[in-house]
This record gives sequence, structure tokens and C-alpha cells, in this order.
Amino acid sequence: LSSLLKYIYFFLSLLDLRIPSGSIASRPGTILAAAETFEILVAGVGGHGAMPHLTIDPIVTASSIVMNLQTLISRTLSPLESGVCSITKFDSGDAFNVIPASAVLRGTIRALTTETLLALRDKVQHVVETTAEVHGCNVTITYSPDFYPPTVNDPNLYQEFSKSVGALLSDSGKVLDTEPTMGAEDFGFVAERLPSTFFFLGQGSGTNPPTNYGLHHPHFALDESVLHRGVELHVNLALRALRKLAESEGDVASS
Amino acid sequence: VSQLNEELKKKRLFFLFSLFFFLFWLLLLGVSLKKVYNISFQTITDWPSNLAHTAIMKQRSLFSFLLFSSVLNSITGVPSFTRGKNTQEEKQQELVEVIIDLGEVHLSPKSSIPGSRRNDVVEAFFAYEDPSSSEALKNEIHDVAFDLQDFLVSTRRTLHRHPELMYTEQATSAYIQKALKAMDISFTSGWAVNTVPDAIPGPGGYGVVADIGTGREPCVLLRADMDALPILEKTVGVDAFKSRNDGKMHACGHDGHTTMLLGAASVLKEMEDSINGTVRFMFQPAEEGGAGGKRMVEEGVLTRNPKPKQAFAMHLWPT
Repeated sequence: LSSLLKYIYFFLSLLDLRIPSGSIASRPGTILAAAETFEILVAGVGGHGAMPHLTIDPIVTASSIVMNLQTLISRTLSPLESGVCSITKFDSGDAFNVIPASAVLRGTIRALTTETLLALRDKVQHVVETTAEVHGCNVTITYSPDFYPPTVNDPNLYQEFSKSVGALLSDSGKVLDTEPTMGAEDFGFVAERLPSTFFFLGQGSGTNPPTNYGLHHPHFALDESVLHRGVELHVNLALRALRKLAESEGDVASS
Repeated sequence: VSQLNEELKKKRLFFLFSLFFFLFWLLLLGVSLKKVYNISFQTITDWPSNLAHTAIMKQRSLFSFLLFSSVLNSITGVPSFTRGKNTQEEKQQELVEVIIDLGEVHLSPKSSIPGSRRNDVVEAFFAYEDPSSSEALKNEIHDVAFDLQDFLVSTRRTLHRHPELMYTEQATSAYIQKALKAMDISFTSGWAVNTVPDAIPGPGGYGVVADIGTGREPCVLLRADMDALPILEKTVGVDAFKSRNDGKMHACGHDGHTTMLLGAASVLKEMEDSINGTVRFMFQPAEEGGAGGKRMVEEGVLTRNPKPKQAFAMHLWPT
């Protein structure tokens, strides 16, 4: 039955594809989020599981921290803005009857602007520190060495140039409009310095193996039939952008 | 090469020493066993038959382990059971010495004559010869790119077989450089050095940058990423090119991104003399949280001449 359900799910998900193989998607403005990751070390006092009053339990404190962080997005962020705060690792303890001395949490925060990300980061810091203090634990937060800025497609470049080149290479003859995703990209570091465009190259219609498993999924498979389309998109973007740049420089020179 | 051989000899010597010590330790173990428990290897035969069998099997497996170790050592030059105990220095030496070769680059020879890489369609496009030149360019690129399909698939599978995590993309980088050499494209390597080794392990420095075109402005930049993720691959039906680095997987399509950019480099190189401007190729490591792109920006990938005016990148997207 479960395999039958899997097949049904698979065919349903084919119908639900937002960008199938052969299509290209993008959008003007922010397309990928800004991201920061953090590790929280909660230090308490360990002891016997039967005598919690003689310990400072880091697991309860860390649990409180996880729960208190849940209201950051819902209660402190404007309903019109986007943000994510996910705890993705909770590591503590080894035994049935021992209260451990420390707990480690890891997680990530995402937002569509650097300002919101940094504001969120300050709020995380505040919630973590005050919650730990309430429970009498010491706490240290370590952030990643480099947070990621959002990846922003230059609106002018996109409307006047990239959109039409993408449309040339898309089976449907147009670039599908996509929502921004809360994933993050190194290309943001380039895009914050140069007018840039980031495309999603659809690849979800492959069947052997199915290529519509999400990114970072252990079953993720690549649809090799779209590789040449990516090559074409690269080459078309490069050549057409060069001609347009030469053209605009010529205009500047003549005027 | 002679230096490498010397290093290998040293390693063999080291292995022989460790083998000797191991045998010595076995002897000591035997002596102590006899002293404490009064067991000797002769008495094994007096044991109940199944017990004796397991004991002998244990001896055999030990022997086969030693044999296996020495065979492995003669192949790799690294004693297998001392690998984890190396000092930091030795580990770094290993990184420099053993460059994993991912195999051949399957690039079919091109029709154009080397030294004169011209393409009439591209020239017509840049000269605005005809209103139809834009459509012609698209079709020309499509034909050339479609012919590359075998190269694209083989390159992508080669990269998929050998996923490497951020700042350790040594073999991937070497393969990219090999492919660029096969295409007769000059490049610079050593980009994206890891500046935060305390936070993220790995030396970095595996980024590659290549320029194609006149070497003058205007210039545009194309980018692809090349690192993999710490995921155990469970994809079915890809046994021919499944990840051979257990626990690492190209689950974000970066093998495809690198392949597509290599394909674009091949296409553009074949029309290089007809391109009015420069296309910069940025193969960047450490995208999955390591900010390899930021490192390359800091190292000047956007500011070296000719300076790129615009940048483009793409991501394979399954959902």
C-alpha cells in the first residue's frame, strides 16, 4: 500500500510542478533570501535524574529557548514581511537517569532583506540570553563567519534584458514568474555588487529516476536532458549582454 | 615526480616499521596470554572443535588483514591502518601529494582550426547584419550545445561520482582545470582560500576563473558552484555514477551547474575570435554556507581587468 501511495504521490506531484523540465523561471527583485546560521551552547549543572533540584537542567532551558523562538516570526515580524527561524539540531544527554551538563542547539534564520535578517539575529540573541537567564544557565551563541545577503535580480536588467533571453530558451516561450524562496545563495555576494540575474532552470519532469525530489533531498536526481539548455542559456546571456553593453557604451560615446 | 617517489619510499619505510612494531606487540600479547591464562597457540587444537575453528578463523582474518594492508599500501603508498593517526602536518602533505584524478575529459575534437576560432553567425550578430541574426544566433548555439550532450552527461556523471564538501573540492577543481586545458582555455586557479579554518575545515583555494574573448571590455560574468553536501545518497537507478564518497552527495545540482558552465566555456571558446568583449567564468567552491563566493569577490574576481559589468547564474530547480 505504501508503494502505491508513493506512486500516487509521485504522479500528483508531477501535476503540481511549478517549473517542469524545459521551463525557466525567475523574477525581478529579490529571488533568494538572506541567511544566517547559529549554534547555541547552553551550559547548566548536570546530576542525577532523580534529583533535579541539585542540577540546573540544560535540556529544559534549551527546550524553553526553542519554544520562545517560535514567536519571533509570528509576533515580532510584520505580517507583510517574510522570515524564518528554524532550530535544526538539538543535542544533549546520553543516559536515562543523568541530567547532562550542557545542550547544543543549531539553527538558521532567513529573511528577504539584510536589515530584517540582522534585526532577527538581534532578537534571537535577546530571546536566547534572557531565557537562559530565567533558568539560571550560561549561554553562548556563535554565528557563522559570513551571513549571506539576499540574491537580488536587478529589476532593470531583468525587465529590459534577462527576461527576453530566458524566454528565448524556455519551451513555453516565456519566463515563468516565481515567488522568492527562502533558500540562500553565494551569488548574492556577486549580485550585491553588479547588476545580475539568477534563473531557476526547471528540471522536475524526468522520470527515470524521478527528478522532482527537492534540493538537498537524499533522493535528489538531476534531469540530464536540461543540461544543454543551461549551456544555451549561459551562452545566449553572455553574447547578447556583450552586444547590448557595447551598444550602450556606443550611445554614451556618441552623445 | 622524484620528490613524490621519495615521499612514497618514506611512507613505505614508515609502514614497515609499524608492521614490525605490530608483530612485536602480537608477540608480547602471546607471551602475556600464556603467562596470565596459561593459553598457548598449541593448546588451541585441544579445545572443542567449534571453538578451535573460530580461533583459527580469527588468526586467518588477522593474517588477511595484514595482507590486505600491505597490498593497499603498495597501491596507495599510505599505510591503511595508520591513516587516522597522522599528524596535522602529514595530513596536509597528503592533500598536496595525492591529487585524485577523476578520469578523462570526453570532449570530441572541434571542426574549427585552432588559432582561428571564428563563427560567421556570431559575427553577423555582433555586426547587426540582419534582423534575423538574433534568431540565427539562438539556433546556432542550440546546435552546438546539443552536440555537446555526450560531454555534458559524462562530465556531470564524473563530478557526481566524486562529491566533495566545501573548501575541500580538490578533485573537482582539478577536473575543471583539466577540462579547460582540453578546451585550450587559459585560467587562474587558487581562488576562494578558506579564511575561517577554525569554523569550517578545509584549506580552500579550489576556485577557478577563466576569461574568454578579446580580454577587453565590455565584460560579463557567468558563475557556477561546485561543492556537494554531507548527505548519504539514496537515489535509485543511478548506480553507474552514484556517489563514491559515502556520506557526501551532489544533492543540490552543483555537478550540473559546473558541467553547464564548462559546456558554455567550450561553446564560447570555439567562437572566441568573433566575440566582441570578454566573458569571465567563475567556478566557485564552498557555496553551501561557506561563502566561497564572498571570498572570490574579496580576492578580486569582480575587480580585475576587464571588470565585468553584469553577472548571470542559474540553479537547477526540481519543484
